[in-house]
Amino acid sequence: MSGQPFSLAIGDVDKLGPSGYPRLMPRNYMHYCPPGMGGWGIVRVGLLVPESVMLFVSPAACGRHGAIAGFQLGFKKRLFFFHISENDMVTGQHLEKVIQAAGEIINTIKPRLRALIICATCVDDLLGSDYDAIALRVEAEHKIPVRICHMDPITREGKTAPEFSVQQAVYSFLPVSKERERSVNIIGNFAPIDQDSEFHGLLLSVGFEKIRHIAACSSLEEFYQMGRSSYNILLKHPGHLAARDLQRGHGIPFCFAPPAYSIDTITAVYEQLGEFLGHKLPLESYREEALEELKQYRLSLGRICIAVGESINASPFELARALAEYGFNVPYIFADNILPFDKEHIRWLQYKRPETRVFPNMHPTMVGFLENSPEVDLAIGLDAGYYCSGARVVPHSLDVQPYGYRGVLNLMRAMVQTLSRPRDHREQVYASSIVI
Amino acid sequence: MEGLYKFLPPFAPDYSGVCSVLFELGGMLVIHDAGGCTGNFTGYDEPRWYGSASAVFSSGLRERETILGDEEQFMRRLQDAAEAMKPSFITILGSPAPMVAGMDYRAVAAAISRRTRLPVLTFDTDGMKKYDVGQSEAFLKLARSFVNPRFPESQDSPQVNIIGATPLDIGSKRAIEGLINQIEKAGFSNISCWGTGSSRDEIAGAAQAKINIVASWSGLAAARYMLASYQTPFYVGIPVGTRPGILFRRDIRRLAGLAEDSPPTAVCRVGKDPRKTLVIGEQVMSNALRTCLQMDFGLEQVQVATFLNLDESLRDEADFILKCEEDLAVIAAQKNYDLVIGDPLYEEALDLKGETRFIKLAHPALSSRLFWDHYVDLFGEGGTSFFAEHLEP
Repeated sequence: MSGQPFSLAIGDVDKLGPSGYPRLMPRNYMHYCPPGMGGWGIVRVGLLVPESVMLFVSPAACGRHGAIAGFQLGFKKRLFFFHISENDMVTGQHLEKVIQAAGEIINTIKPRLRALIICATCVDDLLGSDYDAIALRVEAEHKIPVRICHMDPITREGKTAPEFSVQQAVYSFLPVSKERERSVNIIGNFAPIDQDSEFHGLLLSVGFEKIRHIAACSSLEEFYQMGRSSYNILLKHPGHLAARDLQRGHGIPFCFAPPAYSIDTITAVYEQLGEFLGHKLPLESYREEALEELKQYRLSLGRICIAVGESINASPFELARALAEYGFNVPYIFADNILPFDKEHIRWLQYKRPETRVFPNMHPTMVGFLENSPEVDLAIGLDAGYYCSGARVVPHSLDVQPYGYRGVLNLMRAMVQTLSRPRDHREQVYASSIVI
Repeated sequence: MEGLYKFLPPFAPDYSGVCSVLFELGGMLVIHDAGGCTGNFTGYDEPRWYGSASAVFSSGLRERETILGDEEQFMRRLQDAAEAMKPSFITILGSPAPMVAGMDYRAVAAAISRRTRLPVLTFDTDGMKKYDVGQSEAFLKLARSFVNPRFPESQDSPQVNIIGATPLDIGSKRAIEGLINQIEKAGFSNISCWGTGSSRDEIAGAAQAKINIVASWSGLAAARYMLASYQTPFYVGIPVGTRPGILFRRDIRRLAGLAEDSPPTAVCRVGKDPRKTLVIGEQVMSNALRTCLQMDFGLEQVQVATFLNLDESLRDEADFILKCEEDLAVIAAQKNYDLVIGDPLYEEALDLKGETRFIKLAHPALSSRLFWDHYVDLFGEGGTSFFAEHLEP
């Protein structure tokens, strides 16, 4: 088969859709699913709720990747499947059976679960099945909180795409509280901010002793405490609907403060965050220290060539800009989506690095990309690592949360370590449990 | 409760079975889905995906398109991709969402074939059936659509077709090579393994083969079709173990009309072993394991159970189908097996008590990437060594 891989000059990327959530790939194309592309699936995000289990309701096929990834991640005892039969789906009987299945799980699983998430899929969207009514019945019968989430990629380009709606479902467990504590919640991402980040010291310096994150909560009660925090800090775009719901329903305002890797962008994000919290954050010493350490890393790494992918804990465009600012050569970006936050970084790249080329991961012509895999020293992201087959790969996954100035330095350290001790990329991909 | 699974993941679905068979044949495989089904196959059901240039795509189906039944968008995308990729044929596979909308795949295929002037295969898969059904339909379609009885005979024409050996059942490329090696030992060359290693030309010339070897239940329908259409005899079975290996080689030579190499003097049963044994898995593989246990180790009471299809003609009286996950614990409690052999994921669901020993033998169609890199040499003497190690008291 043939087909030159489709790509865009960075300048053409800037001309795409004015706002919102445009895709880099032309709309009317088949989708390719390269190894290394993907992220946390709906199952994994849903099961962030402490002491919860998930009942996944679908035709058997739909649960397979979530099940295997879940088993790899150790969720086997918290993940159950109800396979819908064609007969039951046609007659609508599967909805009654979901209630029975939920009851059986609640009554038989030891220790008894504290919360249940029922995950429905595309077929129930199309059938218009009323899962909210099911949640109410199961709640009433078994006296535990029940929420509904959807793994329905047919809605992916809509306003309630599954990666957004699952976070709405997760945070909808939080009870409304009239009490307010001087604490902040970190939401939208999947791991607490790294303990070595200056973020903790900065917030402590302005009086926020408690920083909460769902993944750090060991019980449902501890998770409920997030409903008492004064502010939500949203780190990732897919948490936007949840943040909006918590603002409207719980009165907790939110600020979007994504992890960034350019020193100037980090500073700007912190300044915006300080304004939101009503305090100027004392950044200077942390900034100076980071700049000093960066010099050492730049010397040690040299002017290496880097490809940046999208399956990373960053905006690929912001990260590419940051790396270019630090003097690295970043000729290739592999990405499918553009978020509002990306725009200014795309423009920077267009102005300062117009030779940068962007390859949509999912374009069908990418199937032949390996035939002429470009030579780069380092790839950041498992997707970029796949396409640049000779590169050493920093996965930069979502499993931990680097942040701020320390986040950049940790990334530089990971780059140095990867160059000296590379890992097999195939093993990295299959160990990562990422799902499309 | 039927339909509720507390321990087991879903098996690889029907569309993965089809894709597994067609993966290496140079076509463009399009799963009409929103992306997740294609991700299932590429990420979790196809160990050959990493580094492959096979064109397997998701149609990128979206809600509005499904509800409105807008098949034109799908056809345009397909046509554009075909123009860019220039495949030798196109395959369209269904998934759960278009199944709800009742899409007419045959009509779409006819329209696409007219527009692209390419052969188009369609499979009405829906993600509700298991992979063995998809594989079976794909092998049968290869036999019906690609085998050409007038294909010019040459020195390279296949002597043997293996039908039914895919990574989902047999495992890694190395395992399939082990099977081919046993057939070569029987004196055959030019062995064409449909779905893994064979080209479209080899399949086109398949009617010239002396014999078809059915390596899984999925290969049966195609082998029966080849017998009826081209009088190609078929042998069902794979040679696990030393004595079964000798018999296998003798039997396929006989069936192919070749003279005996040497009399099978080594084929005799060893002493009796009373241990009651259950093998859980795909029927042809499970039967082969049973034959090895019986012939090489003297185990007399070996039953086969499966969540997949069982062919009546290959079934022992005591063999049975498992309808739901709960059946595993029920039969384990009722029948007091001494040995159970199956994928490692069955162990917890069986809830084995007392002295029952569980021997792990991964089945990629169930446990996917969790164990697909764990190679076990089963064919010929390898099978005897494997069980000798695991059957020791």
